[in-house]
Amino acid sequence: MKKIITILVFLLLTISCEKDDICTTPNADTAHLVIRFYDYNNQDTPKEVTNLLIVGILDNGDLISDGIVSTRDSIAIPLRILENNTSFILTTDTVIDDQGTTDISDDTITSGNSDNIVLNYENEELFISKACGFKNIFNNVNLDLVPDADNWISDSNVVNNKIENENNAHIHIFH
Amino acid sequence: MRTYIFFISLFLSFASFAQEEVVKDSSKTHKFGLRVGTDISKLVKSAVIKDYTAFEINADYNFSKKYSLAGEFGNEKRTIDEPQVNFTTEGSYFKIGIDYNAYENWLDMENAIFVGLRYGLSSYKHTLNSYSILNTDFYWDENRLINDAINYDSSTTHWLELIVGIKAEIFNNLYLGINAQLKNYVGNEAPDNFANLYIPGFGKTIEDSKWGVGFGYTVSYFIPFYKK
Repeated sequence: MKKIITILVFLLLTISCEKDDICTTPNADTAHLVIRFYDYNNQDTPKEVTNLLIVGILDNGDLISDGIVSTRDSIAIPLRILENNTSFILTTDTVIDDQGTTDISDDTITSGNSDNIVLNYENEELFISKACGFKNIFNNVNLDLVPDADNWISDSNVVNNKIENENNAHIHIFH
Repeated sequence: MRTYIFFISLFLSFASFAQEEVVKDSSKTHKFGLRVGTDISKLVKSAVIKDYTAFEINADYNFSKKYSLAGEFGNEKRTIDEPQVNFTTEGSYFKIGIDYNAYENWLDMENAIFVGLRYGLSSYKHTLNSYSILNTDFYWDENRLINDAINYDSSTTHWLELIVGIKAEIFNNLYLGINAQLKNYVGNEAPDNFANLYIPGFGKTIEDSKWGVGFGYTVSYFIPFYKK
């Protein structure tokens, strides 16, 4: 009889010790698009883009004002999860006039070569767990370069058209 | 709150054992029959909690002095609101098994301190009312809460359950009982792109675990068939 009561009390204690509902699953967050830049003339060699500025374009044509200029050979950029396309302007050799202030909203680009890229894809919502909810996966990703008089991007290659993690580059851009 | 009520009832039952164990009667007679009842905690929770409706009928038949054939049948509908998902689960379940009564009754009482095993089967459906897409990058400033309901295909879960509890006669043939259940599922069929986060009759599930726990507070009536 005592044993049974011991088991009863033990069971009572276990119910109050539920695993905390905190999202700890690896790769539960929606992944960024990872682009790596390569030399157009020597396509196995990564090549940095000098003073690269990345800015997103809203549907009404407005640009998102935040952007940091940096020289790098790879970028990870967010795609829109509620739309089937996302547009960015990638500017190389950017020179910014900050008007002598630290406020970035009045900054103007004084020189640089801007190319407009459009990413098209299909969204898939994947259930992860109760604590994490769903993540978005981008399927059948492709990149369109809007032609202009002087494109600094020479070519691109989608190496992985399914974006579900950020372990490897999804797109190679040659310049 | 639930825990306090349980401990109070546990002490009450201790008090009654203390009295009864003084007397040892060798010329005992036993009543055999069917005890039928309901889980009052489910009725109370249905009345008090807005997003919960449940009903359970339980029965046991003492085919020998120590063993009973026991089972439960019920229906549950519950909405769970978590930060990332809000869903409603609705379905029916039954459990069948054997109870072993470890309590020595005197005269013709049928009190029980029992331990039992059950096989449980639940069939149910989930509706996802709203959900969030996890995206910690706020660059595009998109709303991540999706309000389109998703109806999933039905799910089935089978489990084995250890149940321990007490049934005490409070009036003539009317019994009040408490029990605790420890469950482990042996088969769990989840719909595509969701998980069985709640299972009627089994309870909440824990990530990466097959274990579940439950409690019951029963009121039941004993229908005597014969004495021996």
